Order: sequence, then structure tokens, then C-alpha cells
Amino acid sequence: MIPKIAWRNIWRNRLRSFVVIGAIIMGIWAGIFMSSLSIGMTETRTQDILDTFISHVQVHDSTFVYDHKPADFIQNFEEVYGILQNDDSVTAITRRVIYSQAMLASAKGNRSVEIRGIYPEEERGITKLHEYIVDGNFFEEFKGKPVCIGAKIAEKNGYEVGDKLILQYQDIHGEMHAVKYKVCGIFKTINSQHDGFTVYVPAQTLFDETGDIMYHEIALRTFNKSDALSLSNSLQAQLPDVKVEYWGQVSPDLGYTDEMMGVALLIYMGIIMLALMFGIINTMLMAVLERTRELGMLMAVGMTKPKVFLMIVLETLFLSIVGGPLGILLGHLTVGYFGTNGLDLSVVAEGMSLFGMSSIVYTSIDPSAYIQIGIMVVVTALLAALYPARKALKLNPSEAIRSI
Amino acid sequence: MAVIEIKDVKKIYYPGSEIQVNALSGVNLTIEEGEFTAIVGPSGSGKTTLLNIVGGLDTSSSGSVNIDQTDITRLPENKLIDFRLHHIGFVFQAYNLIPVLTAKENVGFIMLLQKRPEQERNDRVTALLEEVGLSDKMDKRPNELSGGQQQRVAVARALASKPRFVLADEPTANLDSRSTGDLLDIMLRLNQEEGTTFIFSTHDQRVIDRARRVVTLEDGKIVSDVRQG
Ligand SMILES: Nc1ncnc2c1ncn2[C@@H]1O[C@H](COP(=O)(O)OP(=O)(O)OP(=O)(O)O)[C@@H](O)[C@H]1O
Ligand SMILES: [Mg+2]
Repeated sequence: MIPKIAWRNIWRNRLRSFVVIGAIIMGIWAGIFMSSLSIGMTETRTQDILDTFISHVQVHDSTFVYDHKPADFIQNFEEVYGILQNDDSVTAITRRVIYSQAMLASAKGNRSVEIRGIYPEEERGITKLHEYIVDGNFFEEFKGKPVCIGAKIAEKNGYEVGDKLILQYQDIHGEMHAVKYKVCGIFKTINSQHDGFTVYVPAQTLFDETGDIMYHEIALRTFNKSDALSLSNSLQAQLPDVKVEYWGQVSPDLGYTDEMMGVALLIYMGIIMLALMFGIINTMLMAVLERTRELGMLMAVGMTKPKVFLMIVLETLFLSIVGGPLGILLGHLTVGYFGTNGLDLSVVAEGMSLFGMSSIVYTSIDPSAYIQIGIMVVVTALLAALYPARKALKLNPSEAIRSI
Repeated sequence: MAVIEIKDVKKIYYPGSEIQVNALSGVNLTIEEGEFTAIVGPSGSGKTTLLNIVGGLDTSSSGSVNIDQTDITRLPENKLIDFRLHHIGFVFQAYNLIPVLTAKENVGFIMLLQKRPEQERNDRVTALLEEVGLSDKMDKRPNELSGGQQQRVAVARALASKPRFVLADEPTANLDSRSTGDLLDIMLRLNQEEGTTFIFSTHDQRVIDRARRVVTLEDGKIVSDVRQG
């Protein structure tokens, strides 16, 4: 009976209740939309970085990860690679040779670089490097030994496609190599540090030069970046002799940002809920004060204080949770719409493309956030109920009735 | 048998200050079972104060109020609420009913608080609303009822808990003379047929004329106590 009374009570002043419910709907909608925007932006950026450089999972020799020494190549490579290739969750895979302490020398100047020996065809399935070629091509047409260099290197040293340069590096036997390469393509990615430090050559040319057929890195993709962690864990269990890392470990920055996005939602919603709480308190306080006599009568005829308290708490709860699902639904639809069609922010954010970000944002949210929001609404309602309900308890029946 | 024994009850507001009010200054009154008593007197004479103290809604400054040998002035707050629920029926001048509940639900609510079984509740609610002549208005909410009908629902509600007596502070003050007559008919019939004890305050001479016992207060003292009819 008390829930029934409480439910009916919130419809006594329809306008006032609708205002509060409307505010709650708008608040939740705004919170979901804002979070989905920032999650969407971060996702896009993370996705870009994974697609361009990191892919989903990387495998190295366990000591290689510390100082990238060429001697720390992957042991039992054939066996490891075979296992990875046969894993159903692995959708694309490639291997790389890395000489991280190399020198690029030419008449135009010297520069320390990292040489990455790759399989260009496999590489296309893993990273989007080939899409970032601004001049020349990605190992499609070339004469002699081709090298693709970053735009920053090209800029600093004035290299152009077709220029000749010397790559110097030391192999694992301590022998120095100085080999003449020809610039085949120049790439410009969103990461200028990478573009100023990395050069790509076909792995085969390095094997020919050194005679050492070895690999330092295996990069692979799975269906979705969110599957990467569990895949890397299961691969690590199968391959105890190597280090298997998912993208969040390869780039702790990205992993951290990803985790923070969940917190962003809580912070946005927390602020909104705090504001809504005062609105709810105000409404319920009015509802209690204008019913002084009625509450006095109820206590006079024998309704106990806990029951009065419960009634006010339930009223607050009902008032709040009516708006909750509607706000979530509205937010969900908005996120769904802009998740598919994208939201063009170019008008308000001209600078975004400068950071290598697309100005069209695809909103995104993890549905489990809706549960969190639901819980937050209930908690907000309960907190907001306390003061008005206490106020109701302090009523003195005889005085409340005398005011008739 | 005495249902209520009021002994030397005093109520002083702002004691010792310049604006001290002696709302009640030593009231002694015994109400027997089955009595139909009107408390009358000029405005400010202490009628409401007396009824509130008897009903356990207000505390006295001194004296005792025994209801069936229980001194309610000594009951702690939570026991008092329970005591009111089970032993006293209330009818106020207005705001008697819960606006969002129907007549039936309003009457049943008090029995729900008493945790009576559903079957008993339904039967008694129907019987009581019939008794106050509102069988056809059971599913109406208070705002769909006239003032007189609302007060009749309030009387039914007051009786629903099977109280020892019903306290009514100016139950007819907001009613026209016809509704006043109807309500009084019902109260008198309940008094005569069911033996329900009523104590009510009033200013209305027609109501006073129909009371069996008239207690007159003046300046917080009983100045006359007459049995009539
Ligand atoms: N809360 C209070 N504080 C101070 N004085 C009060 C309070 N309640 C009542 N009084 C005073 O006590 C006296 C008795 O009041 P009470 O309401 O009992 O009179 P009443 O006989 O019911 O009057 P009425 O016929 O106008 O209802 C009055 O002088 C009133 O001013
Ligand atoms: Mg009065």
C-alpha cells in the first residue's frame, strides 16, 4: 500500500514531476552523449594508432623488449610462428627484423634510424603504412634495394624519391654493414616521432646482406581490438618462451587512455547527477512541506515514522527512476545514430585534423555503462530522499494538524 | 465503565515567561463507555488542546490521562503511535483522507497499518462504508466527494481500527447544515447501535443540542458538565 501511495503521490503535481523527470532524462542523455563523444574520439585515435603501427598483439623475445638488441631475436621462430598462424583468432600476421641502432648516411647528412625489415605484402594486412605514402610507393616498383623513409627524415635531410643513401648497421656477429639503398617511398603518418626515426626495407635484403635469417617481432591482428587482451593471454600460456603483449602493453599510453574512458563516463555522470540531486531535493522538499497536514494526519492516525520515511524515499525513487530508462533510451538512440552516421565536428573543431584526428566522430559507448548509470540514478535518488524524508519525520502531528 | 480518566491535566505554553498561556489549568474529566460527549466553549478555551492531549497527539504539562488503565502521558513516542493506531479513532476538521486513495482504500489503510488480514479488511470496509451511507462511492477519491461525504468516510476510517473511542475536533465546522445533520445522524446511530464512544468539540448549537453530555470549557477550566436528552 505504501508503494502504491508513493507512486500516486508523484502524479499529484504533474507539471512539477514532469519537470524533474524531464531534467533527469536530459541529464542522463547529455551524460551518455558526452561520454560517447569522448569515447568515440579516443576510440578513433586508438584505432588509428593500432591500424597504423601497433596492430593487436605483438610477440618478441622476452629480453628484446628491454633494449631492442638485434641478438635477442625470437628463438624457435618456426614453431612459434606456426602456432600463431594456426590460431583461429589470428586474422592476419607478419614478422619483422629490427636493427634499432642504425645509421643513415649520405652526402646530405647522417641520421640515426631504426631499420625495420618487413614483408611488404604481409605488412599490408597488419598496418596501414602503405596508405600513408605521400610520395613514391610502398615497395611496388623499384630498382635496386628499396627503402621507405618517414617524411620527417626526408624533410630534415632533403631526400626525395629516387635518392640514394647508405644504411649502416652492425649485425649480431659484430660485423658492420654499409649498404646502398634507393628511396622508394616517403610516408607521413600521424606520429612524427616515428616518421623521423624509422625506415622500412624488405626483410629479404637484410637476410641477403647478413646471412642471418631471424625475426625480432611478430605482429598480428584478431577480430577486434577488445579481443586482443584475452588472445594475448591465451597465446602467452601456449608460448612461455616468448613475450606476448596486447596493444595496451605494447603502448601503455593507449591502454591507460582506454581504461580512463570508463572513468570519464563516471565523472560526467557524477557531475550531472550531483546537479540533478539538488533539483530532486528541492522538488521533494516542496512536496513534503505542502503536505504538512496530510503527513501530520497520517502520523496521528498511527502511521509510524519508518513508514512515513519509506513513503518519501519511495516517492523520490519513483520520481527518479521514471526518467532513468527514458534518458538511457534517448542516449542509446543518439549514440546509435551518430555511431553509424558520424558527427561532423569540423565546424567547432578545425584544429582536430592537425592532431591527425578525423573531424568526424563516431560516438561509442559500452552498453555496460547503462547499468552503471542505472545504479547512479538509484543512488542519487536515495541520497536526495534523505533530507526531505527527515524533514517529514520532524513534523509534529499536533502542530501539523493545528495548522488546518 | 470509565474509558478515559483525565486527572488534573494542565497545559502551559511558554511557562514562566511574560507570554505564558494556561491553555488548560487543571482539567478533571471521566468519560464512560458509550457516552456521546460534546466539548464546547469559546474560541481559545482549550478544546483542541484537551482533545489532542487525550488523543496522545500532544503532551500535557502535568496531570495524567488514563485510557483503560494506561497512563498515556507516560508512553514513549513509538508506543504512543501504536496506542493511537489500536485504541483511538480520529476525525479532524479537514485533511482527514489521503487524497490519492479511494474511499475504500482510505478506510482500509488503517487496518492495513494494523496488519489485519485482507478478507477481514475488505468485509469491514464494505460494512463501514455502507453504515455511513457511501456504498456507491467506495471507489471515489476524496476530491470526487462532497465535504460531508468526506467526513463520513473519515468517521468510517476512525471506526475501522475498532478503537475504544472516537475523538473528533470540530468535525462539522466545514459542513453545511444538511451535511452536519447527516453526519450527526450517523454518529448518533453508531453510538446507540454499536455503543461507540464519541468525544467531539463543536461551536454549532444544533450539534450541542443533540449531544448526550455537554462539557463546557472556559479559560482552560471545566465550568459546566451537563447530561441531557
Ligand atoms: N502551540 C501553541 N503555542 C502557544 N499557544 C497555544 C498553542 N496552541 C494553542 N495555544 C493557546 O492555547 C489556548 C487554547 O487553544 P485551543 O486551540 O485549545 O482552543 P480551542 O478551544 O480549540 O479554540 P477554537 O475554538 O478556536 O478552536 C489558546 O489561547 C491558544 O492561543
Ligand atoms: Mg480548536
